[in-house]
Amino acid sequence: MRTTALLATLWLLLPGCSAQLKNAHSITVRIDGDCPMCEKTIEEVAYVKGEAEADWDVDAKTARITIDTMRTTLDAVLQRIAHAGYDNERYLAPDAAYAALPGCCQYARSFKRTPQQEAAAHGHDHEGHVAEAPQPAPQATTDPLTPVFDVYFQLKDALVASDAAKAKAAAQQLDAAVRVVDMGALGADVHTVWMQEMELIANVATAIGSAKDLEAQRKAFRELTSPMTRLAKASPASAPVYLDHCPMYEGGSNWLSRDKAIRNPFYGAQMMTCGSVKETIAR
Amino acid sequence: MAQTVHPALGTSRLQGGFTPQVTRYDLVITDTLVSYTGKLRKAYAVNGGIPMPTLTFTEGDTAMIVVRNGMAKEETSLHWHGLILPYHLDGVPYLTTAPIKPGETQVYKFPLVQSGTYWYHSHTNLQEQNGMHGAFIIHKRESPPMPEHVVILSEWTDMKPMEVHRRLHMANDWSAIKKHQVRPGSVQSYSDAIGQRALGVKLTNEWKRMNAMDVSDVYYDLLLANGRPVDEAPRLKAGDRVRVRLINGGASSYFWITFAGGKMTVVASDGMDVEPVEVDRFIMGVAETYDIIVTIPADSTAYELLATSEDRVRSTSVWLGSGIRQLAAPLQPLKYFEGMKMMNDMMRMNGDLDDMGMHMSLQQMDMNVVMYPEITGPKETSRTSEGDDRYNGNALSDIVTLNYAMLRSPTPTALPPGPVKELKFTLTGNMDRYLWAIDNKTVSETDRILIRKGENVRIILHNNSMMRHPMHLHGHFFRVVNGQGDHAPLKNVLDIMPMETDTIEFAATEEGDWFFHCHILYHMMSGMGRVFTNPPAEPNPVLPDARKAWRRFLREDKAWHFMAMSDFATNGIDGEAMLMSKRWALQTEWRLGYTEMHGQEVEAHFGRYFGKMQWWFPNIGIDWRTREGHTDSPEENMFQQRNTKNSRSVAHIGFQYTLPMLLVLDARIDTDGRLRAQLMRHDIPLTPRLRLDLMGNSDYEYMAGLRYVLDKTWAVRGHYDSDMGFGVGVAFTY
Ligand SMILES: [Cu+2]
Ligand SMILES: [Cu+2]
Repeated sequence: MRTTALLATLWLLLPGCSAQLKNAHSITVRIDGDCPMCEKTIEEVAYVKGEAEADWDVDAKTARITIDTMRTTLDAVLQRIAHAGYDNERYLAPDAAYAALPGCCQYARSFKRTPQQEAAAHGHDHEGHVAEAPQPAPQATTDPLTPVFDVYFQLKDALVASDAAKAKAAAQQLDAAVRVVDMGALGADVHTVWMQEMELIANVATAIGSAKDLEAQRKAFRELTSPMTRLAKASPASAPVYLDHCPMYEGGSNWLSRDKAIRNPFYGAQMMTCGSVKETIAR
Repeated sequence: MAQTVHPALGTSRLQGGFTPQVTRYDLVITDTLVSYTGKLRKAYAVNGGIPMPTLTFTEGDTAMIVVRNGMAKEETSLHWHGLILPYHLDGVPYLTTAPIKPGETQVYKFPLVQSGTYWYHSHTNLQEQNGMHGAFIIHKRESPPMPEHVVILSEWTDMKPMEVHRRLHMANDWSAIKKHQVRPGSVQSYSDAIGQRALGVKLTNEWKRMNAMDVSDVYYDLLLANGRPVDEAPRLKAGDRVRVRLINGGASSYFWITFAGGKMTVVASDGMDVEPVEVDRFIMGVAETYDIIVTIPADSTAYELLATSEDRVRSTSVWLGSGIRQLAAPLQPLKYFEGMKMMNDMMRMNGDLDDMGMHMSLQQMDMNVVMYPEITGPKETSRTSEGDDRYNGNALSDIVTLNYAMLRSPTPTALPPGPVKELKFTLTGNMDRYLWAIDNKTVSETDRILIRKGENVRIILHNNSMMRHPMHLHGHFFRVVNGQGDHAPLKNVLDIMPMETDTIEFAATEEGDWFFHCHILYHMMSGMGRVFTNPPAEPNPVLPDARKAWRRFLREDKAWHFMAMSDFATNGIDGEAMLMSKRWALQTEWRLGYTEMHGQEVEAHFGRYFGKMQWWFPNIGIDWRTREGHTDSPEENMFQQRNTKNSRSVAHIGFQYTLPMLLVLDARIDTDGRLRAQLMRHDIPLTPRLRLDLMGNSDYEYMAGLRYVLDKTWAVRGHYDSDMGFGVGVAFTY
């Protein structure tokens, strides 16, 4: 409590800071809309004092959304915008909310797929689709967090290879993987850690997914280390995971790897083997 | 074990041509710590997870469930909700089944003579609230495969369930303040009323001795679907018809279900098939289950199946499909003062509800529609009509809301011929002391109701309380007499709204003791229920000492609750404490000055509450006080009796009575023959957090205090007291 207050005071004293938000993180997101009135609505519903703000551009149909990552999520902001009637990358407005928009704001819904389009695309043919059989009760044979780690390592490898496109794809997959974790199958201790960290992981994944270049991706990737390390320690996999340390990047940074050999994701080919194994996390 | 086939079950008869198998599950119950909101809290896990695992079976097979209590101290139980089984496996501790003691293992083995969506939960204390609930699915033997998704809904509160229970009994409205933070207006304070030009409505409401419009009792930090804030079924494609098996495993919340991808087809309720009926939404009473079929309209899209609590404070979502997320329209905040106005019309001065000749039943006339903006328009332009349809949501809007009259069994459900035992139950209760009962009697205040094999039991239920109650019958399905003749639907939970009258009937085919109770956990724990007994041929094998077990079972609604509040002010310490059961209370009050001039004063009384509204509280008590240095005051009361306040040590007899406007009259005569009449009211909600206390009596004593509620425990309080003068300080509430 006290440290927060102190930080807040310090913040106010800092000269020349233009950003209004702490832990600010900005992302550009596509949001449908048509007119200056849309802009007003979108920016108004996105804005929450000290949490989030948006700047929507009617021509590009994109918004620069800035959030305090400790207080809210991009999802929450995009949900609010959709509830106000505006389709965006992640959420489609409820039909009633879209219908309630004033005439000039009734934009063409480019994100929304209608059953008619579906029927045309599939040629009215759903016969070939084999229905899923009822799922038996889940047996806790595989660790539900495995997919999250798998994708994390894919992301790391993409950064090692300095492949921004692959990293972006992996980050988006990570975001998705976080959402589908079967928390019911987690052990109690892991569950607790998961509940504390999942939001951060998803947020960073989102940030990497929408980062403009490799440099920004790497900077955000650094933030994944601490939550992923906590998770790895809470539920150690059968194969060991190495916590690696690079003394140079951003004054010292860590990452996780399944290989003992150092392959630095922060510099890639520039300094591929810079770093050392700091800790081995094993069962 | 013989396979019992329930005559009232339309679909459960075993057809030959298969070899029944035994499906075994092993469940280990442990206590654990979880963090849903960032705070670590105690909860119960089964096989390490919350909720408990989904148990899946096939009709005709035998379930074998090995339950081990891995907790160190606590005993537990598991009840198989909606299942037809021998009574000693029903899992109500001390009534039918022995509790599962720490370290003990019990085996439940019974044939599955039915199919459908059921669930299982602890029937011990409040364990169900913190994780002990899971889905119990029995597939039909011959059913075409189709995608399906099981969803068990529940709530999470960071407050310990026992504390929730205790606070409910002390009419503490911290829950409303928390709701207010999410949904402004939930407290329904004077300032809210003035802001909405409804002060007259609020005052009439208090004149009729109602504190506020209660839609639900408890504030929850989160609502959960399958134990998560958001659940997903991503593997669905355009055109897929998916069966969603919904279970309301909440402890006290009703859920509205709406879907972003179009209409929902209801195909079963409480496990039993109904003829498909297409709706836009339906409400799930606590413990009800509904099976719906929805069609996924398009690919690359996840459609929101939205479950919103009845008070509309929170919701949880299930995303059907994957890709961009199509939101469902959120349910807009309730128009509380419209509800209050409606309640004012229906509340008689004696606390009875009057349906004004509307013969409400089967959820068809929902007087809550006056609070629903989507049905009766936004607050500013609220539509009210006067006709017969004024509470008929389906007539007032295009939205099709399911009600019980729309449920029809595909197979005849007429009971076998036999003598009919007819019972009339009036559900009664009051919010202020959280007394919930049937005919103003709790389980422990009544005997078991005898029913006999061959007999049909008909229960006519009338709800004369201000809340809806999901009434659940163990071990049987009842027919809901709903105008569908022989095709009346079979259910095991009946939601009954205030003022409704519903008729249910069942054949007394199952031997043993069967609990019939309100499934709102906190209502059940307060004693709202009855026990039916159908004398078994053999004594209960697992409860050899029947009398002792019965006495132990009855202990549940006999609990005593303790509460206290006190301030620590500049002029003294002013407070009260109370120990109360559902009928009795021991109260004590103190005013302790720091100087001899201010003096000290303590009184205590013990008494019993009478009536279903419990407005009467005759009591006896003692009164002791001492002070010095007051020689100038008149020392005479309004009845011209000499009345020294400097030194007094007397006993008294008197009563308290709650008057209109919620004023409490306290009249007494003491052993010195002195009379005293006092009027008081605590906790007048000026604003959501600012409360006024007022008191005056015939000894020319008076007090006025203002309290600003900071959190569930602490408040800042300033007051003026005729004896002690002005003081400010902090006040705590336990
Ligand atoms: Cu109830
Ligand atoms: Cu029960």
